[in-house]
Amino acid sequence: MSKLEPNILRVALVGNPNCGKTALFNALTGGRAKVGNYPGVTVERKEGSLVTLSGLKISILDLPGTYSLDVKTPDELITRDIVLGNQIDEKIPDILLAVVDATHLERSLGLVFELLTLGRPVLLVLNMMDLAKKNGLDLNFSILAHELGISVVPTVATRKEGMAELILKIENLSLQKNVSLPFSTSWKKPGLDEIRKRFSDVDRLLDLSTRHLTYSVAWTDRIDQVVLHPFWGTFLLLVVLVFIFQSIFTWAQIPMDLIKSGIIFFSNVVAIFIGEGPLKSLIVDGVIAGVGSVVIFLPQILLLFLFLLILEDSGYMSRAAFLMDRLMGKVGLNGRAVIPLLSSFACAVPGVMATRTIENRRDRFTTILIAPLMTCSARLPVYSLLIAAFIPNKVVFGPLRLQGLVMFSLYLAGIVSALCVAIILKSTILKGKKPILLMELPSYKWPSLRNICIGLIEKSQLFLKRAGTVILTVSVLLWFLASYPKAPAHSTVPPISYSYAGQIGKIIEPWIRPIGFNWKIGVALIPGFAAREVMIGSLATVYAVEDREHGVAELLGSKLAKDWSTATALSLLVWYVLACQCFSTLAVTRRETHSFRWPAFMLLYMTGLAYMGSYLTYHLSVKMGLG
Amino acid sequence: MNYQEEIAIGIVLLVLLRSISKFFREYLAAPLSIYLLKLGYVKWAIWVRKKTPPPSVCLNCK
Repeated sequence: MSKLEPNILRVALVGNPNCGKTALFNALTGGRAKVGNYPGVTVERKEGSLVTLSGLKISILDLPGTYSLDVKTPDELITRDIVLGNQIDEKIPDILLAVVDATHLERSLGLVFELLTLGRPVLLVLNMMDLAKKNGLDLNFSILAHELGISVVPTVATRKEGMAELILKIENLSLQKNVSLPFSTSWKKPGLDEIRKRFSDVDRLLDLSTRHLTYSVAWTDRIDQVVLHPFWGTFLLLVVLVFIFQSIFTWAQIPMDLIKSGIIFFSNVVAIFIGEGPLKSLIVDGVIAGVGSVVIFLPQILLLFLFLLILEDSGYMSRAAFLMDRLMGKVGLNGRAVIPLLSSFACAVPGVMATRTIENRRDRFTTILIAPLMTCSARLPVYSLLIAAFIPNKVVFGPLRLQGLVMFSLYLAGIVSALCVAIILKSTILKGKKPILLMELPSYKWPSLRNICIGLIEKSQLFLKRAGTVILTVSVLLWFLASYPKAPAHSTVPPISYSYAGQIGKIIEPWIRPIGFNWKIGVALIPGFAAREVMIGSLATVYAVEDREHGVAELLGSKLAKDWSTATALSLLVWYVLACQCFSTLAVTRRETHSFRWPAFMLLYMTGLAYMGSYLTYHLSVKMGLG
Repeated sequence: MNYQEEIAIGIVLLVLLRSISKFFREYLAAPLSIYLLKLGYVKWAIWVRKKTPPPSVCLNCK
């Protein structure tokens, strides 16, 4: 909108990573952009707007964090191009809001000095003032404003404090200066002398404007003595992960049972109102069986995201990245790759996009190629279904149960396979030196209830939207394929064998039989490329159409337990750990690598790996008597 | 074909058309418009480009 409209004031938020730009963006615009307590959450420009009381229309641009305009990574390049007016289709911002973390001025002011050299109108926003006060910092705003020659506004973006003053200052600045003229601005890479001078200017300004009222070891440092300890820190990380997967199984059971009962009740009601026939079959065996079988897993998905959001918001995620740096070094990557990989636990798409924070192209591509091996939330319903159906829920040790441990080991298998692939890639086609990790660790914070609630609401909406769109579509189409053409009268073979789905399945079967899959799994795997959990909906539809007598009353898990061997289930689990069953991931890989070659390579190597893994798992399981 | 079958097949056809159109808009329109532009069919490229949605956002995340 504002890209083309000339009367809108364009304001860009520029600052270091994790200084609260997105929180400020949300506070100003009322937006719900993702906020996280770790660097690299924002890797793309975001735009929002507001209208002031005086009627001034302001467009706010949230940009990826950077320490300097001398950029190193693709996300920082976006920021520089927009700030300098070099971005195609994007007008240069009229005002730059230099957002700084008030608790780390020594790191932030260098960028402010650099922005001032551009000759653009700049406002200094001292964010996180509550933490600065808590840490005993006394900042003299008037000295800062006088020395820098710009207005200074203290804010606490997460609590929307200081927003009225900030908007007023933006309005004043827009009136004072003719801020809409130049189309671009010049910047040249600073020399060593200039950088030294900038550092000494920062030191001088800090001496003048900052006083430490109290000196104490911050509690963040005290916690880090344990959390970042090579042994205890790693042990704690493992305990946290085991706890998460155990809880996903235990705590979600009651809401899942309630949803199951709701689905059965709903299908019974529909059956009463619609008489026997194809329409009833479409709704009950196609739509309700397909969509319902996936919706059941909503509580587990929400629990997973609850834990991920708490880890992100508290600042623990960055510590996990720091702990993993040594391990990453062994496979030729550095800790910067950890944040994209951890993001991939939610979904590989933001994980692939988060690799923009990685400087080295080869490291970036390696991280992109292994990101889909991390277990995304779409795999969770598949794992849960198969584990609940085939793995006994017996106690292993204390509160640890076998199902939770199997789930944990599947996640671990994803991580281990990703690291193995990284070793191979980094020693062959993407060979390169291991860069050094420089990473800012954020302060620990109590997770914000608002952030968590917004995050969970959004995840639920997205999950249900997917169930109501992709999964619904696939269920309807698959119902048709599994129901037509109809079997001839007096046929002794099951009617589904005559259907299109049956015919397609029989064509696929010779290729998948060696890994223990039957034709129904083969048919379900194809739409599973749209999204991983679609496979469950597809299986539910195929089994419901095959067994119309029971419909959705007999749940998918019990049907699978009757029809498959444990070896088949284990083989399918391994397939899901390793296969690239996600079209969105391939599309975003194409976008990030600007080539069709890399997504094609990703699809080929992951499918090959999955086939080998499933083959070995199936035949070993059969030998162990599980066939 | 009874009335139930007619309605059911109608629903299936609607869903099929909608999914083909969505797939085209989501994944094919952008590369196709670039290809058409390379071939010099500017008007067609603009027409196809209009069908392209804003940069896709992942389904599981924001």
